[in-house]
Amino acid sequence: MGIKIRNLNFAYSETPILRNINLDVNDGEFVGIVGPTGSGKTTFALCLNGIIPHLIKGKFSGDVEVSGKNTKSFEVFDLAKSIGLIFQDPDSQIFSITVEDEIAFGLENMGLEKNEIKRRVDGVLNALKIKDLKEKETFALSQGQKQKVCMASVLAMDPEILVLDEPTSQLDFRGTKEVYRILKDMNKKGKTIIVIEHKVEWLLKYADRILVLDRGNFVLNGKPSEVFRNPKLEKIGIEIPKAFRIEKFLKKSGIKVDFEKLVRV
Amino acid sequence: MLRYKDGRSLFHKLDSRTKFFFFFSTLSLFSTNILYLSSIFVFTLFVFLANRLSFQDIKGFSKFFIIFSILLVIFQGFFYPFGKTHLLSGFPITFEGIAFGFAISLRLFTILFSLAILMLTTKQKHLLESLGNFLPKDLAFSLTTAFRFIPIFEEETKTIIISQESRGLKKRGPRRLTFYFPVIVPLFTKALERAKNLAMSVETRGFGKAKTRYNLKMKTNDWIIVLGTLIFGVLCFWLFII
Ligand SMILES: Nc1ncnc2c1ncn2[C@@H]1O[C@H](COP(=O)(O)OP(=O)(O)O)[C@@H](O)[C@H]1O
Ligand SMILES: [Mg+2]
Repeated sequence: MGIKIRNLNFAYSETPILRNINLDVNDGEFVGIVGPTGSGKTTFALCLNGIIPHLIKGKFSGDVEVSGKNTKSFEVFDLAKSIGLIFQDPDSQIFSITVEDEIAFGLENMGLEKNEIKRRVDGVLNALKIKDLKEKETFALSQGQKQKVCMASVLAMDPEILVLDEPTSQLDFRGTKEVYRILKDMNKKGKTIIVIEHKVEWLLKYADRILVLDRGNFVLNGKPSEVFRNPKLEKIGIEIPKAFRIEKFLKKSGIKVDFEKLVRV
Repeated sequence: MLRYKDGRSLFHKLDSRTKFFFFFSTLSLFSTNILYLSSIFVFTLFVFLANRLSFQDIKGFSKFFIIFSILLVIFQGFFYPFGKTHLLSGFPITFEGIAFGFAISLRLFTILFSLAILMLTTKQKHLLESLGNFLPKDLAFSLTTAFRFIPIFEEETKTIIISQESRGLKKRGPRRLTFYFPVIVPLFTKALERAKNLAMSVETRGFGKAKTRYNLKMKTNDWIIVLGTLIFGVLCFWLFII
């Protein structure tokens, strides 16, 4: 069922932030969203899980349907069982003292049995390879570990769709690589992944489709190899992956090469 | 900080409502009778130690409380309006003033130990749950998460001070008083931002929707503590106040 968006418009006050967005995301896709700062990426993510229009009021029009549920007619928590959103700053999401409690929080609110909660907590800890953090205190974790705990607390609720808002902005190369390995893994198991990211190299490597958001509208939408080769990209202010920069340079000098195979996993 | 400390003491196993009852009964806000306050203080201290809590756990707070109490005793000694008995002739320190300052300090320490017993032996989600019984859920949430943000706040304050100092802000000199403005403003902006994000994050995880109740079950031990606290309180009240 995926995501279906029709004529989505949103403004916090007067200035329109999202302008007439139409978009479909299929089940099992791995989608990357890029766009300059302030283009509306986070706002878009908040529209997907119902925080807009339920918690953040503003001028909202259009329809967003997630796994067949229109966000206007379902509560944020009901949508959360279909779509999990991991916010940008891990420090402002974690509130429990221990990692275990943090991950169990959503599950307890779902009204699950104690044993089922235990099983699921252990399950995600295993999947993210952070079993050793289970009893740790959350404030003492590194940024990378906090990021994973945030992911775990959302993953534990087992949503079909996972939206991540710049999940690697605080991570180094190794941490980023690990996050993408996990995402690819989840994707292979059937989860739909939507990731907002500045590090284009990683999207080129892992995503099936790239959406480019510019001033509230998706101006480009296509395969990574097409979108990242699009000449408009630089004007919008988005970095071109290294491989394609080299490719372009070689082309200018009369050498025809195809670097796509080089960069895809 | 008053963060939950794992353990197997009697109070760790109590229903959080029992602990709230204990906490409120030891507040003794209405009296300045020294004997009464001392008894409640000793009682609270006894419970504190009996549950294997140590002074180490409240170190940060006690330093502040001790300094504050000393100042309080001195201040009241000088300025207590109903003081009659001068301790040194010609010197305006009264016995009643010192006694009054001492009483208030006792009460402060009782609150400190009592709060420590509650916070150190109760998991955050249990605090949240029982607070939620008599406070609006958002307020209960703010209260229980405030403590969680203290270490992050400390960290951020340091970062902000370093960044402001590196841009030439001086801690010493004539502008010293205004030093903290450029520190406080970003700190508050960040705190507001963070509170907003946290609200969104917990909403998506169904905050306030809990169907499972974990801890709310009054057992024999709970009733014994409630009854014991009640009897002790009434007894002290009867002995020293009436
Ligand atoms: N809560 C808010 N209230 C008012 N304006 C906001 C709010 N959040 C974001 N904006 C504005 O909306 C625009 C898009 O922001 P955002 O969605 O965060 O962009 P991005 O995530 O792409 O950087 C920005 O101009 C920002 O200033
Ligand atoms: Mg953003």
